[in-house]
Amino acid sequence: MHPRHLERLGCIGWYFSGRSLLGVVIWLFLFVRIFAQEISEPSFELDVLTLLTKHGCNSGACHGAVAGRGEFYLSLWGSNPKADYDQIVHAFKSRRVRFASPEESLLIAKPSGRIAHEGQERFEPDSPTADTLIRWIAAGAPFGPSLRVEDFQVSAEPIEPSSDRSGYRLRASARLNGSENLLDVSDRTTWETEPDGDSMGWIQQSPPTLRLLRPGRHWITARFAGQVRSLVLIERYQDQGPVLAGSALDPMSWIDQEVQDGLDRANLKPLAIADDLTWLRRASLDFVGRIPSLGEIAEFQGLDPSTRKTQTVDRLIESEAFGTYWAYKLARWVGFRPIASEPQATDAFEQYLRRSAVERRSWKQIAQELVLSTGDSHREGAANFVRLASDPRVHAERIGSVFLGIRIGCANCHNHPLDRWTQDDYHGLAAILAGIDRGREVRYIGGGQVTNLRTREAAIPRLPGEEFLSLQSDAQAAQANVERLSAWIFDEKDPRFARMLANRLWGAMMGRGLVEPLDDLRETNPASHPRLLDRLAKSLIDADYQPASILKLIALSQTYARVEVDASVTRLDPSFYAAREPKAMAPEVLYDAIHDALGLSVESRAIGWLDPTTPSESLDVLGRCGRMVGCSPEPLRGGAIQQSLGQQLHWINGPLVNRAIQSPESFIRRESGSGASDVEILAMGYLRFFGQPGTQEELRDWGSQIPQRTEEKLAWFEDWAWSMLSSPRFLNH
Amino acid sequence: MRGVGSLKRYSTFSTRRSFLRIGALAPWCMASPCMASPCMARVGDLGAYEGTSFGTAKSCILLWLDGGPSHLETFDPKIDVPREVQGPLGTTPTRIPGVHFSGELERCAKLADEMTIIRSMTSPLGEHGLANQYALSGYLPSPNVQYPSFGSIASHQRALDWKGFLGVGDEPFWVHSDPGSPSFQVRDLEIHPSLDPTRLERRREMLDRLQDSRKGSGFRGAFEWILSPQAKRAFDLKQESDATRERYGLRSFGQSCLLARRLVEQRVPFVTVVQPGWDTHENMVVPLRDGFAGAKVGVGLIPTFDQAASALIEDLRQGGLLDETMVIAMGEFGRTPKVNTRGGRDHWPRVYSVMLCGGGLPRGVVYGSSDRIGESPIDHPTSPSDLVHTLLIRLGVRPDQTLMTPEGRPIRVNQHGRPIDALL
Repeated sequence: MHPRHLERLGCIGWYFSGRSLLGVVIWLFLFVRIFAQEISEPSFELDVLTLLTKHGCNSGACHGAVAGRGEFYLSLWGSNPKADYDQIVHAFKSRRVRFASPEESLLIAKPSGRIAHEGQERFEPDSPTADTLIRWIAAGAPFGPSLRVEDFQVSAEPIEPSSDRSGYRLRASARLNGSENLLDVSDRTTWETEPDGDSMGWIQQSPPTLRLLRPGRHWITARFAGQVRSLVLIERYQDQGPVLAGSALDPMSWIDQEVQDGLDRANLKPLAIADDLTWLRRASLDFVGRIPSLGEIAEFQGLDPSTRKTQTVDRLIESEAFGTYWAYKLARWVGFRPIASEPQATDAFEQYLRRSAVERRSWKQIAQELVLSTGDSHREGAANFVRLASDPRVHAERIGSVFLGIRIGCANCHNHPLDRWTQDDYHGLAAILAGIDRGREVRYIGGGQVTNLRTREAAIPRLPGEEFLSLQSDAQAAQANVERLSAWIFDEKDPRFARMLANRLWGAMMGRGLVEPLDDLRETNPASHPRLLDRLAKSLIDADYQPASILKLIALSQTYARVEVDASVTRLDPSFYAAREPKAMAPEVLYDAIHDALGLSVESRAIGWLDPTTPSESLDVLGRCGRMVGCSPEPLRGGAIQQSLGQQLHWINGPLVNRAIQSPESFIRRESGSGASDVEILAMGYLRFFGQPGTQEELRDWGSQIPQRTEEKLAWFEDWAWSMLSSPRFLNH
Repeated sequence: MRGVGSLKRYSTFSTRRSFLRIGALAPWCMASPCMASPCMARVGDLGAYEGTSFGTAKSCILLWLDGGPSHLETFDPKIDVPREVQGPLGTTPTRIPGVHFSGELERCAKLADEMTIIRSMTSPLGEHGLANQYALSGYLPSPNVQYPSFGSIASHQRALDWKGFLGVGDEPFWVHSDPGSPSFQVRDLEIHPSLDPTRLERRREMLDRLQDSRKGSGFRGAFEWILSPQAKRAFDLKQESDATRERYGLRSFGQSCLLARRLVEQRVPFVTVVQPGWDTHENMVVPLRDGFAGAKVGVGLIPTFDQAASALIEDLRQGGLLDETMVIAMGEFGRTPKVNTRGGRDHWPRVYSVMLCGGGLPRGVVYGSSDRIGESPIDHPTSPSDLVHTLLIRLGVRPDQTLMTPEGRPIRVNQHGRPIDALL
């Protein structure tokens, strides 16, 4: 502490606070006294840090950046109060606080605009914030009592509407340092409005009151002293869209009831149920990664309409293709790729994944084996999951994203700004995994360490957000900790794994997770339908983690069967599921679908190549999760994969589509060779490409353009096939 | 998934040929969860940057000398120093009085009065992958954030207000094939052999009938590329006379530079040409000067570069494009002052040189200098971050803009750099 500071201290207790044993004793005394009457003494954490956070001073774009700003370094969102205190009170020759005239302190003069500030004016010179800071400095700029938040709650109360948009008064309250009462901290809480600024407008800052500016779902993040919470507010749509009744054959399932609840809250009417053939193509692509064949379409049409959906789902689940497709999904999910220079290990891993999917094993069991397997990785396929990660930190992040759907990597260098994960959690998880030898023989070892970047010392093994574990001095201790970790991941009392998996499976079917993005489950990213997610997770547990169980529930819901968003309808917030969002095919699925649609025999299907590094120029161009590129868990929604110029050029001029169209085996050549009429070929094309018969009008329209000369006719049909394959109706489902 | 550490060095540079890319070079800037996306750039008020230097460079050609070119064998050779420092290539006087280039850069020496040479670049990073990132992004690499390169930021910004025919969008477009090959053509740009323009037109029309026109046609941009004679001409190097093509050098790098010029003439905002092979640890005379052992005429990296870069600058000047086209030649670091026992030089980031030319930059200026043996900067030490800061201003991008990563982490376009006033 600076000597000049000492002279001005009104209270000797502040000085002793962090200094000596005597200080600690005095401290304890003060502590008890102060908290008997709530926090009435000036407190750095409560009075200063919360306000700096509120005004964005310690955000990542300003002084909270690792590099600070203008030599003024604050921890991100005030996660390290001691260091921040030091920066404000001691660093820069203590010029940031000025005891003689507190209002001239840089801490106030700069952000209130009295001295030029690159970060602009953050608060008025006579605002409550400035007052609080001035009072704190006048009191000697004490660190004051440390803040321990024991409970933090947020709520929003509707206020009398002054316009046709609803307004809310936001409240935050916290229980601090052992107190029994909740303290109103609404004004000390940082309220962040998502997803963008024009969806909500502040009526006033204190007390925090805002108005929703457009209909739909709104997220608000509340940040207070290291805690984050979220609020979801829904603004009702006005008279939205045409009312279209669902088909009588699709009774509302509990999934639909849950979705309907959300629709009702937003005053939304869902779009109609699509025809059954649209459903068939959708389900076929989602269950087995294939478009339906002519035979399957005919068979479907021959079934009793009241039961054919159920029958078809059951047929698909039992088919061999289901195992093939879900082996591919499983491999992508766990991030399968070859183990460098060890083809035996790669083979064993690939066989393990394939077999697990084909044998319809429980995905929980598979996941547990991936976390826990040891032994010779050339035989034990599951042991290779560990080997995908080059070191414990990468392994920790992978476990986070694959099995928990969380992005714990953010907590490497600072506490996760939008979740509860701390640096101790991150490095503690990595420390557990440091007890694994990632060589050919995967085994537990003692003495593995990682450095905790916060303490700069060896990290102590820790279950994220829970408890510290014992040090891993020997192999047994290391094994015990990894087993504890596994038990925690797969704990069904707090079914985090089941929720993650249920969300992914929902996303695979709907093109959008209940939590979106699929691998970003966190405190401040709540599910659009929390209860639905919980119920799906429970169903998954009850069905022994068989993906098929959830897929079937979803496939037979009305929600799944809705028609696609039509451009004529105003764009709806997709998180309400009032309509089907068009979903693009994954590159491998698309590759197979081109060949299937043209009726070409395929020696090896692209989805059969679990190894994403299998050379294929076309798949690379189509944007598969290839050699180096990380990839999103599900293909882009909103349709059409032709994103980049390279992809478009390849689709138009490359061999992928052109060669397939011109193949002598294609149905066009075969049919015209065997004397089919033009209209018959057109009709067959509609069924093959779109899974649906063309309308009379469509067929007549095309038919009138077909040239008469045979060679020209063939070229015309090729061009037509190309355009069918390039249209959203083929590319999306 | 992410992290340069896990990315094998040169996995995208596996070829020994030079290659060209429309857009910025940033091999690690793949779909990483943490990569800052220029797509979300937020433009603030222009206040402080409305100087005369802001945005003078409408286009940029980056000649990326991959592997770390020796400053002592290029733009900062030393005279009157021990032999093991001077190296084997000698020096040549330039148009700037008292300034010498390497003896193998004779053509560039004659254009030195058009150039700005920075001889006091300095960085702490001597590992290729990390230094690459620092040089191109201006950010010290972080394991958690993949910073975008200045080129990708600039091209993105340009794409917003740029209505040239080459609508590339945000995705950089790699020219996968070798412009030096007689059969050079851009992959998939040539109409498929079984087709003709009439049929492509018909396909486009048919597709339009199947698409909801309100949602726009998915392939419009690509059809324009294929069917536009302008695009074809830009890529058709045969449009150039044999004499011109020879002037650039007939191999990969020379022809890539020629192609870069042709693209810039069509207002493409950012073109990167990579010349790999500058990591010369051993017997450097062969790769740098000779090209192959026993060569009678040098066809190594430096003569190749000399020929192509000088032709490029001359042509840009002659075509009146040099004032608005910035040419940058640089690599990730320099090389050790002392030649090692194997006749090569090792990595040396403490001081190295960068050549800049055109785009409104001062002409005939040497900025900063290294000490007697090229070991350390002695004045105006310049970090990659300072350089990027300065280049961004010239390219019309505010360095204090904030970008958002997909995870919502705010990042400034340039954080630590200071503008080099002498270049603005």
